[in-house]
Amino acid sequence: MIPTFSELLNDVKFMLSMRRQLMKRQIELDQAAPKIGELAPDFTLYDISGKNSITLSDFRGKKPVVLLFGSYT
Amino acid sequence: MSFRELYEEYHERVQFLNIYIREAHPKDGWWLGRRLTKTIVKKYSSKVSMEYYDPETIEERRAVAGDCETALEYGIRTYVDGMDDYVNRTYAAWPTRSYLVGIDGRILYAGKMGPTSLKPKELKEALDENLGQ
Repeated sequence: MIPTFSELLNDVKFMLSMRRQLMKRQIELDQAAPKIGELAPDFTLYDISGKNSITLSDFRGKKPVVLLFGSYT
Repeated sequence: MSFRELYEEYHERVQFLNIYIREAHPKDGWWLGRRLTKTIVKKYSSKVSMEYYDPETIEERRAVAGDCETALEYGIRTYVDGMDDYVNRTYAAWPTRSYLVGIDGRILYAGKMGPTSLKPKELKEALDENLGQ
């Protein structure tokens, strides 16, 4: 179905609003993020089965660790 | 350069942890499944889903994390943040971000907030610099 001009205009407004909010959040979150040289905050998390855990500090003295954060949407 | 390529190149020397955090754009939140936004997002990231609600229990969160792990095909085991979002908040991780933590436990690389500032190439440079290449 072909969107109407009004629908497209609403989409553009939504995107511009989203961009403004994202830029604001980026400043806040970048300031709050741990910085280079700081001790990485420790955590223990479980995998998707809920049975196998991992603790960040267990890798100290053994291996560097890459942390990749994200979601599906 | 993708994270999957980084994993394939470095995983024997570096531990990779994929951490699933609160959904960025669920159907019941800041949803991008509208006409124009959907077209644009799909153009740049074809594997992103528009079909999920924000999980309300840890079981739901684990299930979505599993779907995400399968779809994104990083090959990296996924760990799931708790419903208190502790790790997400501590690392200012939402919606997506990357770090490199050194053997001494200190942060060697701290990426900016993604997805627009998520830079696998920067992470590779940090890996090469710190692994002595």
